[in-house]
Amino acid sequence: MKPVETIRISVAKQFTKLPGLRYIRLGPFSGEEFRKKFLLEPLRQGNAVIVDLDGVRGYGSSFLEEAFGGTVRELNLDIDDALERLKVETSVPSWQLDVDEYIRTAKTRKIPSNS
Amino acid sequence: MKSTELQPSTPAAGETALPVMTNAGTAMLKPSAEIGSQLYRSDAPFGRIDCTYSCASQPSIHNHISSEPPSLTFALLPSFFSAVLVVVGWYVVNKAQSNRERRKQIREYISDLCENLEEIEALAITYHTTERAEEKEQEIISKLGRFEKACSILPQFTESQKYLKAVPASKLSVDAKLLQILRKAMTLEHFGDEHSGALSRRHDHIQNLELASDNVQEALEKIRVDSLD
Repeated sequence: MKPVETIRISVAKQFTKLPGLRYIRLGPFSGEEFRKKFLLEPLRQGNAVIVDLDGVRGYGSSFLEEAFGGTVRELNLDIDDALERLKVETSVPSWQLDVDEYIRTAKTRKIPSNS
Repeated sequence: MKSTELQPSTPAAGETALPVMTNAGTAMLKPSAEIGSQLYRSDAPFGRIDCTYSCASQPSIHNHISSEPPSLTFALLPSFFSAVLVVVGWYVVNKAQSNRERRKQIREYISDLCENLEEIEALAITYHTTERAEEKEQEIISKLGRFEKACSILPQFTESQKYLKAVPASKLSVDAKLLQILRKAMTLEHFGDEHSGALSRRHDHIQNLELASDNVQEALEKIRVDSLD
C-alpha cells in the first residue's frame, strides 16, 4: 500500500523530553498516550510516519514497545506494511534496534494487561 | 691512465683538432686523444690537469671538459630534498603527539562511561530487588538514555581525522545490540506496573541484568585497550 503522504513527528518537540512508562494510567507521557495522539490516525489514513526519537532524556523499553508494538497490534497492521510506513530517525542506534524489534514481534509478544 | 697534452695554440697544418675550453683558457684537443685520458696543458700553472676526455663527439667534448660551474638548479636540489624531509618529519612528529593526546582523552571518556554504567547497574538492581519506587523509574530511564547517547558519540572522537587516525572509528563503537539488551533488562520487564515486589538477588531477571551490564563493560574495556599508546 503506497502511503498518501509522509508525516514527521518529533517526540522531544511535539510530545515530551521525558517519556514515561507504558500505560496512561501509570503516569504522564506514556507510550500508550504517544501512540493514541500521534501514530494511530495518520497510519489509519494510509500515511507514512517518521518519528524523530532524539532530544529526549531517554526511553524505557516499555514505552517504545507500547508506542510502536502497540500501534501494530491496535491497527492490526501487516508487519511488512508497518516496517514500510512506520519508521524512526535517531542518532542512538540502540533505540532504532529496539523499535525495529518491537514492530517485528508486536503480534507474538506477550503483553501485560492494561487494567 | 693515459694523458694527452692539450695544445695551447692552433693545430699544425693538415691536423684536425677540436677547440676546448679549460680553466686555463682555450686549448686544442689532439685527434689522437683517447677517451678516458686526462687532458692537461703543460703551460698551465704547476702543470695542472684540466679535465678528462670523456666523449668523442665535439659538442659533448666541449660540454664534458668545460670548466663552467654546475647549474644553480642542480646545486639546490639537495637542499630542497632536505627541506622536504624536515617538513614531513615535523608533520609526522606533530601528528603522533596529537594522536597520543586524543587517545588519552578517549581513555578518560571510557573511564567515565564505565563509572556511569556501574552507577546505573547499582540503581537498577536496587530498584528490582526492593519494593517499587516510582521516583527511581524516571531516574533509571534518564541515566540510561544519557549513557546510550554518550556511547553513540564515541566514534566522533576521530571522525574529523582524515589520515592517520588515532584509533580506527570501527574500534570506537559499542555494539548497539548490547546497549539494547541492557536497556531491555532494566526497563522492559518487572518495570513500572509490572513491578511485582522485591526480587531475590539470585533471580533470573537480576542475573540477566548483571550479565547485560558485564557485556557492555567488556565492550568499553576493549575500546580502552585499543586506545592504548
